[in-house]
Amino acid sequence: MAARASKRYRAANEAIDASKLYRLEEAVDLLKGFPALKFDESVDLAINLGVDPKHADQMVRGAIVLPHGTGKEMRVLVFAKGDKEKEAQEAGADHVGGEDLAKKIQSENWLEFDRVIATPDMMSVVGRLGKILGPRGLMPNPKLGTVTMDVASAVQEHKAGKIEYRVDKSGIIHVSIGRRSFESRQLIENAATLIEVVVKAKPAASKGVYLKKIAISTTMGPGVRIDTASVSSVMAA
Amino acid sequence: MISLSNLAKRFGGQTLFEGASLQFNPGERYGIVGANGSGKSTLLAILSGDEQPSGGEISVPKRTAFGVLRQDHFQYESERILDVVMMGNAELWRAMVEKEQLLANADRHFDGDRYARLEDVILRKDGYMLEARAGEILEGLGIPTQSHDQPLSTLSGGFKLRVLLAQVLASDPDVLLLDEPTNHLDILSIRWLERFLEEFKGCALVVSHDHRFLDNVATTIVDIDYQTLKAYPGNYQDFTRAKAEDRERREKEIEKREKEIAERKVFIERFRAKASKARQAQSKLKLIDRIEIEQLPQSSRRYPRFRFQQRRPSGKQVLEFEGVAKSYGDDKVLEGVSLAISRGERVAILGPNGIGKSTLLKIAMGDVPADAGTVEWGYETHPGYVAQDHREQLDGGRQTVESWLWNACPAESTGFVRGHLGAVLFSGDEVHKKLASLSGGEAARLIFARHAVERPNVLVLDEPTNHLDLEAIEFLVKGLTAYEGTLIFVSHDRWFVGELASRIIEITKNGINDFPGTYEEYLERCGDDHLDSDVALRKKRAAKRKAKTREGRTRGPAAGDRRRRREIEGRLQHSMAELEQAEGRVAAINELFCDAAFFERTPRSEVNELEAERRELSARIDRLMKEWETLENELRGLAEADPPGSDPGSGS
Repeated sequence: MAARASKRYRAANEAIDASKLYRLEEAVDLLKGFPALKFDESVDLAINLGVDPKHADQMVRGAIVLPHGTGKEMRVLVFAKGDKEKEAQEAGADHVGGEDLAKKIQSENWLEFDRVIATPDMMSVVGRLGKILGPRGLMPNPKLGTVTMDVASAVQEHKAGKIEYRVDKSGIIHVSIGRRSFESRQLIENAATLIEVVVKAKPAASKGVYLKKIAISTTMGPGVRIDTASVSSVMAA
Repeated sequence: MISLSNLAKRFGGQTLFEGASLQFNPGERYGIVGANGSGKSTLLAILSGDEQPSGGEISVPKRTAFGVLRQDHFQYESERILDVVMMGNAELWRAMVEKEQLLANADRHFDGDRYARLEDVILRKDGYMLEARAGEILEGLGIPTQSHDQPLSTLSGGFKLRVLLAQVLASDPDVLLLDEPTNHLDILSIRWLERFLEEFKGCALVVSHDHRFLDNVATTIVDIDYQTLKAYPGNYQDFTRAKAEDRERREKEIEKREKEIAERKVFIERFRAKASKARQAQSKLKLIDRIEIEQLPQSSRRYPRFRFQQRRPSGKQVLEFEGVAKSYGDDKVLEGVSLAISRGERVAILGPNGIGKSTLLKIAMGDVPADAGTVEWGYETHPGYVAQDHREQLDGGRQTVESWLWNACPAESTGFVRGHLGAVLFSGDEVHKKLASLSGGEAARLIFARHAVERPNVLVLDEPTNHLDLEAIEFLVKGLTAYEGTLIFVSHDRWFVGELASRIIEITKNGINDFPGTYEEYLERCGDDHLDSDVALRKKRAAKRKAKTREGRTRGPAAGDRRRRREIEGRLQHSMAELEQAEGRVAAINELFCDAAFFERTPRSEVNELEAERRELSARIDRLMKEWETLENELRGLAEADPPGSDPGSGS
C-alpha cells in the first residue's frame, strides 16, 4: 500500500491546480509558498524531451554554469600530477592526487566528492575506477570539460556550480537549479538558463515536439507543471 | 513489424520455399516447424541478414535489433563467462574494449574526442550496469555467481548453451531468433525460458522440436512445408489440428471434383453416339477440360517408423542399484543410490543438468565405474543403450550406414537390412553414407534401427529426443509405447516423458525421489511449482534459514533420533512391501511346481528359469528378513530412549 502523504504535502498539493499549466514565474512563487521544512530544500527541474536516447544521434548531454549556482557546496576531486597538482590545489580543489587517491577509492570505497576532474595523462589511473565512478556518473569526460589540462578553471567552474545535464532512459533531464532559500528571480534565471541551453542542444534527429513537459518541484514537495510556451518569453527577457 | 513478401530460397535446383508472404508482429511468439532440412534455420539466417533470399522482399523497421542464439558452443572457450554474455551487446562491448585500450595507453597519448564518443555509447547503452545485468541474467539461467569469472570451457554443454542464451538476452533485442534453444537444457531451464519468452515484449521466432515448449510458448506456428511458409494461429496442438483439417478439406475438394468428372464421363460415353444428345455430350467434354484438379504438392515431412521388439522377456527383476556413489574429483554427483527396476516398467529419470542422470545410466551400462555400491542386471536381461553423444556409439566412422547395421545381423539378407534402414528414412544412396558424415538426427535414427535389429529387452536411452525432429519424436513415442520390454530413460522433453513414463525417479541434491506413476500424476502430487527455479530457490533459502534458527536453538540429540526413527519407519514399510511381493511370487511358483502336469507341458528351460527365480527370491527374502530384524531392533532402542510423546514439535 502506498504511504499516505503528510499533512504538509497535502496542503501543498491543494494549492496546485493539477489541470493548469503555470507560467515559470507563477510556478516558482507557488513553490516558495508551500509550507516550509526544517531544512533548505533544493529546487529541481524536470524536462521531458521529445528524444529517444536509445539512438546515438538523439542524445542530449552537456554541462553549464548556472548564473546563481545551485546553492550546494561541490566537493571536487582532481587527478593530476606535478605542476597541475599544485594548480588544482590553488584553484580550491578539495582533494588532489594520483595513484594514492585511486587506491583509496578502490580499497576503501571512499566517495566523498561530487565531481572528478582529471588531466589527460592521468586517465590511465582513472580508467581503473570505471566500475566505481561510472555508475555514479562521476567519470571525467572531455565533453563535460572534466578531462582538461586547464585544471584551474575547471575546478573554479565546478566549485561555482557548474552542473551536468543528461537525458535518462525515458528522455527526461533532471537537474537541481537552486535552493528554496534563493530569491524567486534567481531561481527563474537559473531555470531559464538551463532550458535555453537544453533547447540549443536539440539534436537534429529529434522529430516532433522537443520540449514536451516541464515540471518544477522542491525536494519533498509536489511537482508543478510549467507551460512550455511561457518559458520562451522568460528566455527572451 | 517484419514482413515477408513473396520470399523464396533455393539451393541449386532444390527449392526450400517460395511465394512466402507473412508478417511477424511484436509481442507475438512464432514457433517455426518443419522437417529436417526444410529450411527452418535458413529462414532465421535470412531474417538476421546472414543469408540472402533467392527472391522476394523482407522489410525490417529501421534500427531493429536482432538477438540470434548461436549454436557454436566452442567459439568462446577461453573467454570469461561474464565477458561472453556482455559480448552479446556488440556495439557496447566494442566501445568498452576500445575505451579500456585507450585508457591503458593514456599516459603516452590520450585521444579525448574518441574517448568522449565511446563514453557516450557506454552511457547511452547503460554500459556501467552491463556487468550487473549480465550477472543477473546468468543467475536467472541457474549459473551461480562464483562461476561467472571462470572461462566458458569450465562449463558442461548444457550450461554453455545457457551462457550463449544469456549473451543473446544481454543485447536487449527487439527480435529474438532462437534455433532449438531447448536442446541440452534441463526442465528447470526450459521453464525459465518459457517464462522469459512469455514476458518478452518484442517478437520471438523459435525453431524447436519440443512439443510441450511449443505448446506453452508459441502464439502462432509457422509451418515450412509444401515448399512454402504458412502461419497457423495458436500453439502446436492447434496447429496439428488445423493442418490436418486443412489437408482433409483439400483432399475432399479434389475427391469431389474427380467424382464430378467421372459422372460427366459416364454421360458422355452413354450419349456420344446418340444424335439428339451429341451436342450436350460435346459440351460436357469441354466442361471436363475446364475443371482444374489441384495437385497437392508433396509434403517435405518424412515419418520414420520405429519398431522395437524384445528377443525374449527378461527376468522379473531387471536392474538393481545398491548404494551406488560416484564423484568426479571433489564434485560428488551420486551418493547412496539404491533402487530396483522391474520388468515392463517405463522409468523416466529427471533432474537438473549435472546432477548425475547420465552418469547413473553409464554406471548401469558399465561405461563408467561406480566409486561404491553395486549394480546388478537381472536374469536374461539384454540391454540396448542410446548414449547422449551418438559419436560414442558409432565407432569406426569410415563404415557405411549399411555395413554398420549389417554387422549387427550378419546372417540376414540385404533386403532385411535395407528394410530396416528404409524404416528410419535411409533410402537409395543414403545407405552408403559414411558414419562420420551423419547429422545428429540421422545418427540417432540409425542407432534406433540397430536396436530394432538387435531386439534388446531393456532399452536405456539418454536424452533420445535431442537431435530428432518433431515427427521422429512422435513416431519414437509410438514405437516405444508398443515396445513390451523395460524402458529406462533420461529426457528433458516433458511431452515425451508424459507420454511414456510409468514411474518417475527424480534425482535431487538430497537424494532420489521415487514416484510410481505417470508424469502428470507426479506433477499433480509434487505440484508444478517445484520445477520453478524461483520457487525452488526460495524454498532452499527458507530451508537454510530454518536450519540456522534450529541450530541457534541448540539442537538436542532427540531431534536427530526422531529423524532417524522416521527414516527407519519408512525403510521398514518399504522392506515389508518388498517381502510380501517376493513371498507372493515364491508361493505362485511353488503352486505351479505342485501341479504334476506342469512339468509335462513346460519346456525344461522355462522350468530351470523358474527354479532360478525361486532361488534368487528365497535369498532375497532371507536378506530382507535380516534387514527387517535389524531395523526393528534399532527402532525399539530409539523408542525407549525417546518416547513419542516427548516431541516438542507435537504441540504439547
